[in-house]
Amino acid sequence: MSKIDLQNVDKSYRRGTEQLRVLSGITLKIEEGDFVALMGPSGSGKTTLLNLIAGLDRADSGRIVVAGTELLTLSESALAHWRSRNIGFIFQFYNLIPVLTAIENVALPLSLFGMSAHERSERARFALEVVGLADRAQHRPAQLSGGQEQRVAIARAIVTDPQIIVADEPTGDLDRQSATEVLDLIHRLSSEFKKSVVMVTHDPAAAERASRQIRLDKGSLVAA
Amino acid sequence: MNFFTIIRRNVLRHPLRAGLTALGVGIALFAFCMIRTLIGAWYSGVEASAKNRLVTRNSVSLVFYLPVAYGNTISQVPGVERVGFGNWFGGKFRDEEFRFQQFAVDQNYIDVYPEFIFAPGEKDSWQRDRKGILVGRSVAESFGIKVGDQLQLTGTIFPGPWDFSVSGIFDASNPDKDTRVMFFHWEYLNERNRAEFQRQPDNVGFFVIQLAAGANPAAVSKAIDERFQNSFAETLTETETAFVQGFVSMSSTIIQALDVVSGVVVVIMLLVLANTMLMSFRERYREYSILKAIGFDTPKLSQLIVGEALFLSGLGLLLLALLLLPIILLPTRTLLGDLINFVPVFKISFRTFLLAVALGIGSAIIASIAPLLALRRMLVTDGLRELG
Repeated sequence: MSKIDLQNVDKSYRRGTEQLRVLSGITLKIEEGDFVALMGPSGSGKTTLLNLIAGLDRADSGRIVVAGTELLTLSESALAHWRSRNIGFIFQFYNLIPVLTAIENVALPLSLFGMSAHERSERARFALEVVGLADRAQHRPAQLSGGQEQRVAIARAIVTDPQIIVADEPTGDLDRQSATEVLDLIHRLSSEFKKSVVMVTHDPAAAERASRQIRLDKGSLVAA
Repeated sequence: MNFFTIIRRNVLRHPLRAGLTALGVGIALFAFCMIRTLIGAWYSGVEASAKNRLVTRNSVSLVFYLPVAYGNTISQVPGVERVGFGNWFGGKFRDEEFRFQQFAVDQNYIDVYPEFIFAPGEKDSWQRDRKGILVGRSVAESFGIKVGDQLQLTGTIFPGPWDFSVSGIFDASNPDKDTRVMFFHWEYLNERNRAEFQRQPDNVGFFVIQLAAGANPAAVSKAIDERFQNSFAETLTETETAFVQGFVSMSSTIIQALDVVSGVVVVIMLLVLANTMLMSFRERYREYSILKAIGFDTPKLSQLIVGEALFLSGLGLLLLALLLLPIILLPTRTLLGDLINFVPVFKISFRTFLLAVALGIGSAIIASIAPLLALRRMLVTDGLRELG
């Protein structure tokens, strides 16, 4: 069974009186360990598709099964609970909590799991080791470079050991060197840790690192 | 790192803003406590008055007298245990007028007030000395008066010098009872009145009546007033509480204004807190959307918001406690100076403090409502869209 299975998914938004169709008849399967790059021009529906897969938004019609769960059947609260256990998020602007240290930021999602403080700390430290930032555990985001911040954000994404990682322009705000390091890490997550990775990117070089590229145009899949 | 750590660090993210908000809350609650205490002090006489004591005065006005002989008639009314009487003196002491109350009273008057506590022998000593006076502790402390001192008051209603000798200094068993008072013999006043002033001698300003156990105050009051119906000096009898309340209500407009001010202070505090909470929520809108995305549901995030409001309010309450400490520890005289003449009993009650704490907590919860509603309406995708 595919890790991500979308069948004939439609999504539209209302802008004033106008109905804007953003996604139309999307059918897509992504397997365990796949590293998929979602590409396409602005407004093609990449982020909307990513949000649907991550359970952040709801489709108008069709069927979305992610990590064995039919998302349309879940309530808002159940969806939040499901996300905390199955999805790891990597954002363009890292979005770490500025008042928390690197290790506290990484441990943050674990506070939803009812673990002891010691266990949370151990797992967060391990995640920081995976991204090579164990020595920056007590630094605050402001004391880290952009690349380091993004690596902390990746550690936060993997600390709960989710099956799926979604990344929205993860290298969009980084210099080439840092971008390469981040992409190496994301690649490692799919190849070594068998995470299914879906990454939205405009950068062809970043997309090259994916095992598969999916192109969207005007809300429809162009090539899968 | 626990939930409280996140709350604490979020609140202290802007130390100046957090500090000013806590200062606003603390000072507002301090002002609230002071105003409530002032209002309470205003009513302390009412609180200290007894419902089983009656006061009989001339039905026309307190400034008109009643014959002292009425006392015998009153004492025969069923339900009356003891009758005392007194006259307002209104003298100056050391050229200061009305710094304390002075009453010319009979022996029974003192016995009607068991809450006044005398040292052994002082009442007897007073009885023996025609010019003897009994001085309340507040007056004694204010003027450095000791037992055995010779004092001179200058009469305003009964003009001229009046010499007294201090027979005793009394305390009050009830802390609400005002001891800024002095008693001397009515006989002494009456003798000089008859001889020198001819201001209705053998008349008194009012009677105080101690009721027998189980007596109905309303029925006894009615019975007393009926005895003097159609006389040249009709009476009005009411409970001591109603009598004192009548005096207090003369300044009811001030009290009402103070009441309104205390309410306004609380509203201002609420607005300060609500503004800070809303500002903080707007600034961290994207953080909340990220937290929602990674699995924090609305109830969990609501706990964070309410927790931050309570933390801020808690800082304000801490400040309140610090501000109240000197007021609780310092003697009223040191604290108020000359204001003590208007507010003899000024103590922050535990009830007032608890009310302030409840208001602090309540305000924090109310201040959280706007951000909580915004949080409920927030779509994660909108928040994430703001990120770009």
